[in-house]
Amino acid sequence: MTAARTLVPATAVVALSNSVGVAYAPRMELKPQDSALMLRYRDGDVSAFELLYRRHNDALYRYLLRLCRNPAAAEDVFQEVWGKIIKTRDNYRPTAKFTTFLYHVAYNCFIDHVRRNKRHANPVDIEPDSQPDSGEQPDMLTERSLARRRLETALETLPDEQRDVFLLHEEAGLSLDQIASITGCKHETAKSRLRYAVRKLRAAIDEPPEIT
Amino acid sequence: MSNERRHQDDLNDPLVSRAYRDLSDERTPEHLDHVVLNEARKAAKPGYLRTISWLRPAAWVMTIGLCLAIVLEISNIAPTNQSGLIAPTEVEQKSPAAVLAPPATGGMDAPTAKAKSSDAPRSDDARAEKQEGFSEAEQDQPDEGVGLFELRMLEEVPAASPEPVKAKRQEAAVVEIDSFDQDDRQLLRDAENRARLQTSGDQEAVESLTQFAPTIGLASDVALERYCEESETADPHLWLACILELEQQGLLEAAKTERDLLRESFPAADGLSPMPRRTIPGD
Repeated sequence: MTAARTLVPATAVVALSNSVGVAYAPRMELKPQDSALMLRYRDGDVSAFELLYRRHNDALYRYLLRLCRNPAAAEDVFQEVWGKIIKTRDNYRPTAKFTTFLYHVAYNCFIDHVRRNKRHANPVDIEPDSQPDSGEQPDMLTERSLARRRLETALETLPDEQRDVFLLHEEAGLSLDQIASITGCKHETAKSRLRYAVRKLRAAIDEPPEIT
Repeated sequence: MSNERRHQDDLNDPLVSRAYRDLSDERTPEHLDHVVLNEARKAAKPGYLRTISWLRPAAWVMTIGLCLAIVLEISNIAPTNQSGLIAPTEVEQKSPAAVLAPPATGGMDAPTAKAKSSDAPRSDDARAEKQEGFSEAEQDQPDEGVGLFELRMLEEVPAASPEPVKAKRQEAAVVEIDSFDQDDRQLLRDAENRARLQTSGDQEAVESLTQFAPTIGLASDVALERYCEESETADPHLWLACILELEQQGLLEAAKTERDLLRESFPAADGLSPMPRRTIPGD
């Protein structure tokens, strides 16, 4: 049944809906919504939570890693965030997008972590060697490593507010309104911060590599 | 227009986005995944209870209801105990059988008990006490038409067959009577008479006796004691006079009983003539 669905082209569905007069959705939603998964988990379906977790775990981890700039701290906050999601599942109401809810919790946990541990007390560079080997040529690896270093440096030099907005935009894929809601600022402020962040990063990427 | 487009480019720079995505290939550590998923599983364990959300309040309601039912049941039982039932120990203490039965001999045989009882000083006061205890016990007894003595007998035999019960009861009475002295015999006879009067359904006789008694419960005792006391029953003439008097008063059943007893005690009393009777006290 699922295979048959996927084989039907979207144009055919639209044509069918037009001819019959039924408002079929042109794009079939095969993946359950995050909110539906969360509600299922609230009712005791652990597999729904696993699916939800697999969707967001890496992006959230990277977001926290960039914010904390310390893998150990990022792991602590990461665990704390999911712990809060699990504990508050009974009170979860799908009034907003789950991603907004998740990153709101993450942002608050990060703020709490900073208050507890004095932010940026011990920033640790993420070693390129610790990343998985992609099997590329050595010169390509070197170039990628340099690009990574430049981007990371540029991210680190960004003001905290601009970095927060950029990461929420890139990692979570949130809109400016959602970012403004999470960070507690106005829409225009979020927009302005994002613009400055993107400009600075673009400048860092375009910057020619230093000859040592 | 171009300014706005430049601003949009500033917000969504594909080059920056691609560079960031290319370089951001960090993955969540495996151990972190395990920790979080285990926590989620543990938290979701009692989930089956959450699906039946009404179960908990329903359980509470049922528990409270059950407790109330038990309390009501207990409160219904308690007054019945207080009003309708007599504690067995109380009955045993006041039972005439306890008075009539061989005194607490602790396993002594009948002759020994008899000797012991004859050794004890006998007086009218002691006998009166016995009678009083008897009457009190009978007052406490629910009005079922059966004396406590008979109740005691009935308790000792199974209630399934009436005929063997009666036979057994008579046997037991004879055995006990033989082991008593004259006073005890008299008491036993009185008790039997009362029991007969009550069980024979001769309510008129009982009621007529009550008019001479200050209380209803003591009526039959008082009537028998008044007309056929020990001093009268000692002499067959006096006893006969007593019987005649009972007949004159219409207490035919009582008179018949007394006559039977008289024949039992004095087999040759049929040809006797009654002696002049004394006046009835209180008349």
